[in-house]
Parts: sequence; C-alpha cells; structure tokens
Amino acid sequence: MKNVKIAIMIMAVVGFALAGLGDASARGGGHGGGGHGGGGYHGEGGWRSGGREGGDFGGREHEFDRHQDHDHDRPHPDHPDRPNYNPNNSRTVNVNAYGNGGWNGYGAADDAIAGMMVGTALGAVAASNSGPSTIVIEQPAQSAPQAPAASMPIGTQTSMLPTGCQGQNVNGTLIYHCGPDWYKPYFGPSGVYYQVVQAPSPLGNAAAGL
Amino acid sequence: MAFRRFLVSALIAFCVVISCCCASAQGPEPKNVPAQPAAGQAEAITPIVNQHALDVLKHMSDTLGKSKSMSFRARSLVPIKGPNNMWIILFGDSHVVMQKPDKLFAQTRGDVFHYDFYFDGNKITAYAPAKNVYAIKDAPGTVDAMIAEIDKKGENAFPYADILTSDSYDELTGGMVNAIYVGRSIIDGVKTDHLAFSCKGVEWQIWIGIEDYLPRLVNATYLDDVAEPSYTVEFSDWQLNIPAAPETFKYQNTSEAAQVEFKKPGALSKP
Repeated sequence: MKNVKIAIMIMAVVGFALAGLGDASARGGGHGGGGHGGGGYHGEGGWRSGGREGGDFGGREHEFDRHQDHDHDRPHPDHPDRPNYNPNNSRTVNVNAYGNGGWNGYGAADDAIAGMMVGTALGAVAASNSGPSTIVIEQPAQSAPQAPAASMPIGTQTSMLPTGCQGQNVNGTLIYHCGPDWYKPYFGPSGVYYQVVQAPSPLGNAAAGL
Repeated sequence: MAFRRFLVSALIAFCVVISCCCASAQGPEPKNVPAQPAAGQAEAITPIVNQHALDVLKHMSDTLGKSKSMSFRARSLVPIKGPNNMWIILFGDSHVVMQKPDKLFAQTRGDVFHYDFYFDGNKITAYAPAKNVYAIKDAPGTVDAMIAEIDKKGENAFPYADILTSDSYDELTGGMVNAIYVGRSIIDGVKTDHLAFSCKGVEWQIWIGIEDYLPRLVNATYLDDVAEPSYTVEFSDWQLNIPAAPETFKYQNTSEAAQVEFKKPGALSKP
C-alpha cells in the first residue's frame, strides 16, 4: 500500500509538473463551460458527472474580471516573448459560461433551476447565438450594458439588464421596462436571467407572454 | 527549462518526504488485490478491488444513512473553461442541512451563483438574494426521490448529492472498476483513510475520517475529457442527528422578493 501511495503521489505530482510544461493545448481541449458544478462527479456510478456539460446548478454569477487591471499584453522587459504584469490596464476578461455548467439541484423541477454561470450581459444577450460557453470580450467590468436604441428581438435572453430599467408589477408578474424593451426575469440554470417579451397589453398580460 | 527540471526534482523530493512520513503513520497495510479478469476480458489492465477500501466506504455510507439528520459545509473547487482554453477554478461554498427523509436546505455562496435552496417534502423553492427573486415548484417526495429524478433527467445534482442519498455506497460503487486503499492522511486535522476508485470515465478519491467515518475530501477527475478536469469538494463542520428547526426548510419571504418562474434558457443551455 505504501508503494501504491508513493507511486500515485509521484505520478500525480510529476504529471502535474509535466502538464504545466507541455503544450498548453493539451489542457485546452475538452468541454466548455462546466460551471460550478459541472457538477460534481459521478460517471457511471460514483460521483455524479454530467456536470461539465449542460449542467444547471452552480456556476459563476458574475463575470470573471479579476484581471481587469492587469496588463498581459506588454512584453516583459527581460523576456520580450513573455507578457508583462502591469497593473495599469483596463482590459477586462470575461468568462461567460452561461447556461453551460453548474450543478443542478433543481433537476426535480421540469425547468431545472440552478446554479449559474451568468456571464456578461453582452455575452449572454447573444442568446440566440449558439456560441461557445466561453466568450472573451472587452468591456468595463461589472457595468450593465446600455439599453439599445433599437428594440431587441422577442425571446432574446440576457443575464444582465441594461441600465435604466424600471421594474413593474404587471398583474402580479415582475417585468422590467428598459428603453424600448420589456424583460421578464426567470430562475434558470445559470442563475436569474431575463427574456425580452412583448410589451404588456393594457387589457391584460396574455398578449405579452406574461 | 532549468526551472522545469527544478520543479520536477523538487516535487519528487517532496513526495519522497511525504511518503516517508506517511509510512511511519500508517498501520497494517490492507492489500490491494487485483481482481481476476472476467472471461474474455483483456488482461492488460487488471482491476484492483481492495476490500478494506470498500469496507471503509460502506462504513461511511452506513454512518450517513443511519443518521436522521445531518448538516455540513462543502467547499468546492470546480474548473471551468476560461479564455484561451485555460482552466479557471471557481470556488463554491455551501452550507447544507438535511433531515430525512424529505427535507433539505442548501445555501451556496462563493464565486458561483448565490442561491438558497429549500425542499420541504412538498415544494422546492430557490431564492437568489442578489436579484431578490425566488421561484417555487411542487415537488412532493423524499430527498432520495428528488435526487433520483435529477439523475433520471440526466441533469446534475449538488456536488455532494451522492452522500445525501440513503445508500451512498450503492450510488458510489455502481460501475466501479478499481477500489484502492491508498493510506492514511490528515485532512484539516482529522485522520482519514484515503481511498481511490475508478469507474468508466471517472477516477475519484475520497478521504474518510477513521473515527467518525465522515467524508472529508473528495476529488474526481474525468478521463473522458482530453483535458481531464478535476473537481474537488472539501467537507467540514459535520453535525449528525441534531434536528433542525422546521422553518429551516421553508422559504420565508422576508425581503419582499418577487416570484419568478423556473425556466431553462433553452437557447443557451445547449450551445
């Protein structure tokens, strides 16, 4: 048993070291998203898996922007081939794994609730775009997008409301009025998200999909 | 390159030191006995099934299964794919309270979506404090049934869902290929048995307290992914058989939160 432990530890650590030395692409493939939870473990028996794809619960609520003040683009003075670390850059790196990860504790519910990779609003606004779960864009950190001048298509989904929205209670349903659009909030797999709906009708909300 | 050699050397040296320490702390070594390959099965990889590892896991399952209530803290490290295909590790911190057979509360914070989950045997309620909204849905049944329903739908459960079931041993050993007793380890000051298992596509390890037989740490690596992402959950603050107040499992709307619907963002859920 001792030998097993030694062997495992050496393999694990050396493997880790080698992994860090090798081609980055070796770790780059695979699934996207994962979300928090990616769900735990469990393949066929064992810890529950599945999580790394299409999971529902968990995940990041806000954009990944810890490096917003770091400059990874400038060359290192001693190593021109390497980026420098310079805390004077406003570049923001956002990780948007919205809807693609996390563990799902609400699976019992038909429309699963769950945890959440709510990425940037702009990334998530691309709801109709079946893009990758990881979206890298540049924008000010933690700022809500400006309300578009033109109406968004009905059904568009976003994880973040534009600025200047006004919440209203329409026949018991919370709905946000944002510029020319109306958004209805939902509790979804990647957290609370908003979907563009028709303007509530003065005669009722049926026409608005409420 | 010199740094690489140094790193590897240093890590190996570290391992040797650690392994020596482990050797002195270990008791009799349970043997990891290779199982006989089934007829027709390739002999290249001989499964190892260590009975002691299974016994410890079963003891953990029985300990959890017999408890009428439990609460614990689960801190998770979960990789997600980041920019340029880098793995970004997210930290999740959950406080879980369960009362058998049909009550569960989980509060999750950390880097992940903050939410409170309530299950009282009749309804599931989820509350998002940051958005001050909640959703509620009928879900009569037990915790086991709820988790089974999640599995049935092919969705993901809480990362600690396996230990919430009445028979976690059955859950954990389904499809098992290897069961290895690795040795003794001290996790957060608690002496544990370190076990390693594998099933199709997944290798997972668990550290179980040698006195209380409670899980302290779990790591799972997915082999069916070229990048082999690894998930880790640490358990702490265990309390068994201490009944929780009934209101623990019922959502109380004390913040005038708005009710919304549960709904998957279909277009986003399957890129």
